[in-house]
Amino acid sequence: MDLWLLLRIAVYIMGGILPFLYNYYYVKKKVKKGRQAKNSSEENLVVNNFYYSSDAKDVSAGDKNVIKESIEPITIVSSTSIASPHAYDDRSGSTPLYVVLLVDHNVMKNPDALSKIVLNVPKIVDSMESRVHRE
Amino acid sequence: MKSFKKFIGILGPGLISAVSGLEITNIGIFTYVGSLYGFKILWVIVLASIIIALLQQLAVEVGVVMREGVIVKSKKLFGKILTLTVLSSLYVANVVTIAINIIGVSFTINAIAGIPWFLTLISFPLLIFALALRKEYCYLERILTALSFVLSAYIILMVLHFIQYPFSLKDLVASLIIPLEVSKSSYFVDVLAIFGAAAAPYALIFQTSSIIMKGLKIHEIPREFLDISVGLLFTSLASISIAVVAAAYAPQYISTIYDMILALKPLGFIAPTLFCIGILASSTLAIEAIILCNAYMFYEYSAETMNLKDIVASKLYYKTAIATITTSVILAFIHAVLRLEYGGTFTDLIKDSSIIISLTSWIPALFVVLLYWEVKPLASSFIKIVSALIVGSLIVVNVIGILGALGLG
Repeated sequence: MDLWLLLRIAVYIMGGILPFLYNYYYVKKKVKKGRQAKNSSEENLVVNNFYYSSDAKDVSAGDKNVIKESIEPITIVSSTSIASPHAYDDRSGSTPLYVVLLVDHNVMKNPDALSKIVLNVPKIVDSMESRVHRE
Repeated sequence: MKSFKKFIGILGPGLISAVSGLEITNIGIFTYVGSLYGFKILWVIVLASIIIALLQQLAVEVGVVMREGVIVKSKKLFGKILTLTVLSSLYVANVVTIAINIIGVSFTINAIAGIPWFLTLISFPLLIFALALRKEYCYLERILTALSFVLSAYIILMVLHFIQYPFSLKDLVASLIIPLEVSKSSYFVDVLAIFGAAAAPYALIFQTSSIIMKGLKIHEIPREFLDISVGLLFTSLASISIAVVAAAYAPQYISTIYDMILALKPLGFIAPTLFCIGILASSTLAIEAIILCNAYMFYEYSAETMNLKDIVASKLYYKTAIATITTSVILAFIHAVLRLEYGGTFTDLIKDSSIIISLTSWIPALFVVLLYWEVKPLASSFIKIVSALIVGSLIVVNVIGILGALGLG
């Protein structure tokens, strides 16, 4: 095999097949990584359980007295996201007027995750209200 | 069963677009080079198909990440004047593609039914215009795609040829792996024509527009890439089979449409009919798609990215359809008359058109690459460099081809 032929084969592979395959696997890998990162952040972000407390610093889910005594302030506490309504609607003692979101640096940089948290607020407030009414 | 359905789902769009992309330019040029060079030029066909597929991959990434069409984004990033250059080059490539398809259909019907070509050259565009005015041609599109599948006869004939002559399979594999050298004066002009035939610049615009409309997410890109890969496999297989069948059965120098039909002679008396149906269906599909592409481009330039359905319902669509078809018919008529007047053949007509398409295709390709450089989360440095080199090579191929065509190479 002469050098000229080798050069042609190299150009053929480098200019065609290799970039096409490389781009496919590169994007696939990036997407997979992104998905894994998203899943792990979502696990932290989605608020399924929340607790009521008269004291935001000391939260106990099992303590029913806390709910009975919870006149103010009612606090929604989760690992990373929603917390501390500071005021209440006068018509119902359980409806918060404000919701403060605690958002960490990674979530701030992720618009999808951020919007998911915000969109979850009404759902959580609703279920919080219904639970309080049931109690 | 579920996985089979999923597989068919992935196969569908890529395969359909690949089939509809198989029109007279590809068939004409690949038959011509196949009969002239045999297997020696197959690697160029494969390389051109892969480069086009890579550019499609980049267009997908641009569409998904930027959420805007190529024209809209180009206008924002590079200004109106430069975008107008892309728009003009795409329009020229599109009109030339339509014109050669009209000529192809006219000459095919002339060869088979004896109807004078200039009569079909006027009546066929009228039919196309009537179809373009229909707001909903989904069913028609499916029928045309199904009819285009008759051109898969080339693949069947190639398989039958290798069953009959298994020893030539070794030559085929060798010619696909090792890029062979050809010492013919017209070699670079023919390479340029191959790139022009393989290129479908309007497909790049469609790629991004369909992605924006589908609202494709980043995690769905690999699936879209799989679709492009299926299309690439089919296009390569079909292109190789046309060249192989031509090398095996066609006369050594192809000059008329009848010579092209001769490549299908193992099919017997149904060969001309199949060829005619295939060309008619694939040309109609391609022309309809190009008219839509032109309307989409102009809409993007004058306003912004819009839904294709809204574009079809707009006045701009009708105006674009009239302007595109009229320009194409005039161009087709002048081109055919002048070429035939000065002793040219049907192959020359196809070669001219393919060269013009190749000359105009590198501009949209360059813009897709430039936009890809802006796709920060997904762009890789390696692909950035390779894509820039590819566009550079396309320019070099164009320059060398033109020098060759002028007898200066």
